[in-house]
Amino acid sequence: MFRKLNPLLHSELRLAVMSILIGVEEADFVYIRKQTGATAGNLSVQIDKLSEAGYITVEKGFKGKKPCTTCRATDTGVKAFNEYVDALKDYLSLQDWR
Amino acid sequence: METNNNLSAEQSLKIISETMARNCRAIEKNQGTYYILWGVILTLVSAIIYLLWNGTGNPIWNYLWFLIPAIGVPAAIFISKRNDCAPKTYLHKTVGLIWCAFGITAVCLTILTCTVNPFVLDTYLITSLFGFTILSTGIVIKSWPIITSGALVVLLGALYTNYGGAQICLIWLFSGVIMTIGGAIAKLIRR
Repeated sequence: MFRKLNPLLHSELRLAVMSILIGVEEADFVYIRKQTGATAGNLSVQIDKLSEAGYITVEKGFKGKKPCTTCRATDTGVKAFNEYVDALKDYLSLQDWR
Repeated sequence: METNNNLSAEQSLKIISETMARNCRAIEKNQGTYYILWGVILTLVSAIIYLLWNGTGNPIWNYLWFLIPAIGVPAAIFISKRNDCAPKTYLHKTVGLIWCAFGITAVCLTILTCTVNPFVLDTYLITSLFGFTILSTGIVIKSWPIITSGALVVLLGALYTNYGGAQICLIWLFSGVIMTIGGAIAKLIRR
């Protein structure tokens, strides 16, 4: 029986955001935008969705005089990401078997 | 990148692996910069002290070692501010702690040398510690140029145990050169 793919992570941009945050302690909104090539508005919406699910934390502050939004993956987010990758592996191993 | 929810398993894995690879490249981009910075400062300051100490015979020029943190710290802050968009990683934190441990040990040994026993801080000990710190950093960040430069600095300290006076500065000068070359190679490889 296959595990259902987490619908929140099964989206191009949200998956990319989580893939970035999984490898770092924290990342700036500007950095995530540069890495994903997404528009600021779209990225902001997707980050809010991940934050509402408790997968990431978003901290708004200042770096000097510039406003700065910092994102961090939570333990729940890391667990969900790992489960998502495991579920993907199941799908792929079945395709190989066929 | 858009909000595409109809992804196949292959597409999802591709997004994950490509994003992670891009992220790694961005993090490692400036890896050698700090080694070049500290290496160049160490080389220049030790060369200046060597020339002045050797020329005048007065060891008072050793106070110029304080130029290293005086120049290096603001320069390092300036560089980190220029890259303020770069993400913080666990590796950066670990490397920072390793250098913090080296700094605290070096300061404690200097204080002990000045107050308790003038023989606590010999050149071999401090050079070995310095080389060991570079070596540990190289192992943590998995960079062979940094590992090699650390090992060379440790060996360099051992080779110069018979030297004294202004010649001690030469050990630091060569250590600085090795550090700069290691940093430059690490930077070139990561490009």
